[in-house]
Amino acid sequence: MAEKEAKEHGGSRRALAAEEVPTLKRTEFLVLLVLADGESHGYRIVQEMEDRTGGKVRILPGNLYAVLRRLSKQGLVAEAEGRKAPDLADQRRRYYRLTPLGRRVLATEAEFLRSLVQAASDRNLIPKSAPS
Amino acid sequence: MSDQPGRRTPLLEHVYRALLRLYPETVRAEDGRAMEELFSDLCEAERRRRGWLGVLVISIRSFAEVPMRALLARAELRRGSAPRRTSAGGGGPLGWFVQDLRFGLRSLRRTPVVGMVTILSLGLGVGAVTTACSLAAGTIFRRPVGLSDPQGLVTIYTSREDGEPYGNTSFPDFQSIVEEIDGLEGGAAFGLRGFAMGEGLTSASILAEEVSRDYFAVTGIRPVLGRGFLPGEVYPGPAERVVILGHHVWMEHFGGSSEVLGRAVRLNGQPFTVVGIGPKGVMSRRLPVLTDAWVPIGVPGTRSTRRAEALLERGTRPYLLLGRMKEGVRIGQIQTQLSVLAGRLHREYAEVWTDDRGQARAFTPLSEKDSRLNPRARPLLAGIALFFLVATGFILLIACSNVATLFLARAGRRRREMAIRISVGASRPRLLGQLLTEGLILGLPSGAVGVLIALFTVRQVKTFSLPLNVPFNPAVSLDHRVLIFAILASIGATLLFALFPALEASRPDLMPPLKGEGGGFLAGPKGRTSRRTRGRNQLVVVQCAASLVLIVGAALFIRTLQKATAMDLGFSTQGVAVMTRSLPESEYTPAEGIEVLRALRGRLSALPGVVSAQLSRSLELTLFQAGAEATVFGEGSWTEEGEGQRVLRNSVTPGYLEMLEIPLLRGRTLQESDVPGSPLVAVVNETFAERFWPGQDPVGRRFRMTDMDGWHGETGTDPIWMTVVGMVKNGTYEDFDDGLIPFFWTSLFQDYASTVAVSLKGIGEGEEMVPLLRDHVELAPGEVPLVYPSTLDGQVSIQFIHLRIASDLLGWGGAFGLILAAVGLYGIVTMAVTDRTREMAIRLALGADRGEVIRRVSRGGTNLALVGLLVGLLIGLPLAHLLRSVFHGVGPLDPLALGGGIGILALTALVASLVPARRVTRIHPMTVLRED
Repeated sequence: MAEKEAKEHGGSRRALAAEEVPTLKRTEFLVLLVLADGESHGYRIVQEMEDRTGGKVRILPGNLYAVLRRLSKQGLVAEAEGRKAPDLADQRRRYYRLTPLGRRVLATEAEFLRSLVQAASDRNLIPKSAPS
Repeated sequence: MSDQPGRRTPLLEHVYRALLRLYPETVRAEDGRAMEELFSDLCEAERRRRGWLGVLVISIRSFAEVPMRALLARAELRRGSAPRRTSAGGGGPLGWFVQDLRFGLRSLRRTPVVGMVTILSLGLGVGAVTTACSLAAGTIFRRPVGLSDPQGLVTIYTSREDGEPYGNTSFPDFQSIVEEIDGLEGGAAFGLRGFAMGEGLTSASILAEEVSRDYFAVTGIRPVLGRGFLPGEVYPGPAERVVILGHHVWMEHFGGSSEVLGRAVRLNGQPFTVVGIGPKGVMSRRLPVLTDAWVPIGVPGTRSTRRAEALLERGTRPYLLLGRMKEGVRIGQIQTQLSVLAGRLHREYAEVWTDDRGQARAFTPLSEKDSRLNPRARPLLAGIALFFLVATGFILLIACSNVATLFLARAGRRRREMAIRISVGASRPRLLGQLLTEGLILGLPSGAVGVLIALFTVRQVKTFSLPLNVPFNPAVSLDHRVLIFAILASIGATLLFALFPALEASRPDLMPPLKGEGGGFLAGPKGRTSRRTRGRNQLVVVQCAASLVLIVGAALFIRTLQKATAMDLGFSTQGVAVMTRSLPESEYTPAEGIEVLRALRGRLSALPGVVSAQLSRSLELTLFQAGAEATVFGEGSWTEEGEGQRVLRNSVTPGYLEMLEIPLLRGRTLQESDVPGSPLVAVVNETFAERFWPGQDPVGRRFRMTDMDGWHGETGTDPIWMTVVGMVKNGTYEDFDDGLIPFFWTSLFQDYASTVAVSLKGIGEGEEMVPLLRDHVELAPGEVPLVYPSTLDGQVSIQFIHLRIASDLLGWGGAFGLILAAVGLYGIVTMAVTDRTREMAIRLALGADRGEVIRRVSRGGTNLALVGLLVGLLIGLPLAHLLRSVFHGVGPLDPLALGGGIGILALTALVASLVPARRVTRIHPMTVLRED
């Protein structure tokens, strides 16, 4: 059903993606979105996710690191190397960054989501969004 | 917000770190540190945002998350492949397990009621049984603490007056045993004795074990601090005032400080030097309480010198004996040697070695194990324990039946799902595994809830205190064996319940469920009763029956208490406060004592608000009935010596009978003119008059009594006769279930007692008089009242305490049972009716009358409940008959208890049958039929 809708608005996700792209869960999408701003560490990722969803998504440590492990295995994120922290406490933190592949997958997923949102909007399910 | 919050929650972080060990090593090495870091940051952020409650919430959520995530990580690692979006059909048992776990949690989230009912039901059941078992294990079936090699110990009893074999022993007999019994290496005599520790009204009552010289050597109990008693400190040495404190007393009153050694504590007003601290958890062998202290036998008492004298009297038998057998000696040999000794003692001391039946007394040895409970009290205690175990067992039974019903019903609803799974190729073990995993998901939290409930109730019992001046340190704790059993039981129960439906569902006849045919109620759709339906029906019957037994039992107890407290006692406790006052016997002659008491009464009477101030030898219907028994001989037909009658008596100040509003039927009551020197007079009750002078006017008759202790007569000649001057109405004086006893009152001024109860009556409540007693009755140095200032009402209610505790416990049990039964009954009937939705829809579509359909369906449920109630009656009535001695004044067929119990359950069944049936018939038939 969703794929059919998406096709009407610019093609399926398969058409959008140039390569075999892993599909993203909501938390995975959010983590990538946070990292799109630049490299970040666990606590800040949790905070950002919460801020961006208005407190609707609160992820726990076990879940966050499971997601990060999965994303790095898929090559979508990587640990930021050689980062010198400005203060002592931050030396212990591990920073993650988006890989170029991660950025592409994120963009593809976002595009796909936009087509879905557009479909919903056309049926007056949500207010029309202002052109960005 | 700062990026590097400080560390404030080290304990929680520690727990989290420990939990992270559940992860596979590789994952922990990679991410463990970062996860700890994040957890700590989140805690700190929550602490700032929402305080400690927030920290608690985030901690619990984070902790709860770890086991599941760790399992997933292990499964992923084992698969050795990159995680996939969907893992359906994932390989290996572990993968299956993880999958089942996720599926189970998801389906639980969809039907939270099933989860909640299961966890609460099982939790309550397991909690109740765990509490009852812990109480029994901690009191009645407790193993002794501190004894070394208990198999080598033997308890020796001397037979009692009435020939019953398990009585106490005198100290001289104990010495004879130790000296003459070859098979014994040594022996210890000990007795329980109450002391007031501290001073005056602020003192604490303790129960000390009074022990002979070799007590510690024989029992093997070793003080954890300090030393035992030295030979010189115990009789036959000079018996020093030294004390070894019980571990809990040391912790509670002295903060566990070792500085207490060598210091003096006041026991009954005398300084005792603390020389040691006993090991933790040592219990008295007399009562199921912790031993508060040990003192040397024969230690000089305070008021009474009788203790020391008693050590010399062969006829005074206050002690319990423990002997240590020599290596290889059997109890049989000890018995033989004891019989020889008993024979000799009988010859030498015939007077004190002959019992009431004229036969020689005997020694009886019992092994340490057999004598942990007083052999005389064992049947009673075991009966009480059994009763509560059975009652809690019924709660657990109802809970299990609830859960089984739910699982069965759920499995029934999922037959279609199972059929589809099997038809697409799922194996039977795979399906079983899934259902068992779902059982496990519910079993673990059920066990946890049960343990929490048990912890709570055991703590409540520990803080329970008797409303009287008797120390009560029940040695109760959550027994770890019981705890482990409870956890295993709840997990086992859920697995078992999951298993039966699983077996049923995993071997289904695929066609009917696929066609959408549900199971019927009572009978299957074609009039046949399927095995599953039959099982479900049986459960409803079991549940109704168990609930009825429990609820009626509880109701009977509550009715008993109601009747007991509402009973006409024959006197009024309204507005009266009491305490006791002891005059030192050594300092006052009876004549002087009378003057002191008279002055006290005069002073109290003059206090504002006091209507009446009275003194008495004892208090009717309370635990303070010192010297209340007497044997009397009357004038007339029963003057023969040796034919005295057991009666109760009290000596009181004039005005006492009026204070208690005991109605006078004939003659006069006691008067101020009844003083030493004037003729001795008595007022009797109706039973007394009827027993001794049937059909005659008792006024003017005479009687005398044998026990002349404390008797203050001027004549000094024997016999001293008392003249009856009045008769009062009968009342309840001794124990409320004892029936009518002959009772008489004399004047305290003619019949002196050195320890008296002081009663004050005001116009208002008894509580208002309590401070007056506390402020205006001076105690002698070192005196500790036997009854602390309190209301007479409260003292009398102690007589009902066993009933109150039992009815409280059963009342709660009954309420639990009722709720569980109602929930279970409702659940099962609802499920069954819902299962028949399709059938009802077809009937309605074919034009059946709506009312008729509702009746048909609900009849099934109510019929089952009726069968259950009948079974409950068949079990419950004989049980109530067996326990009839406990239910005072309420027959086992008490209409209110029985009718109430049956009514409540029947109503529940009716509502549970009608409501869902009505709901279903409101749905349009086509909606139902289209669903398929």
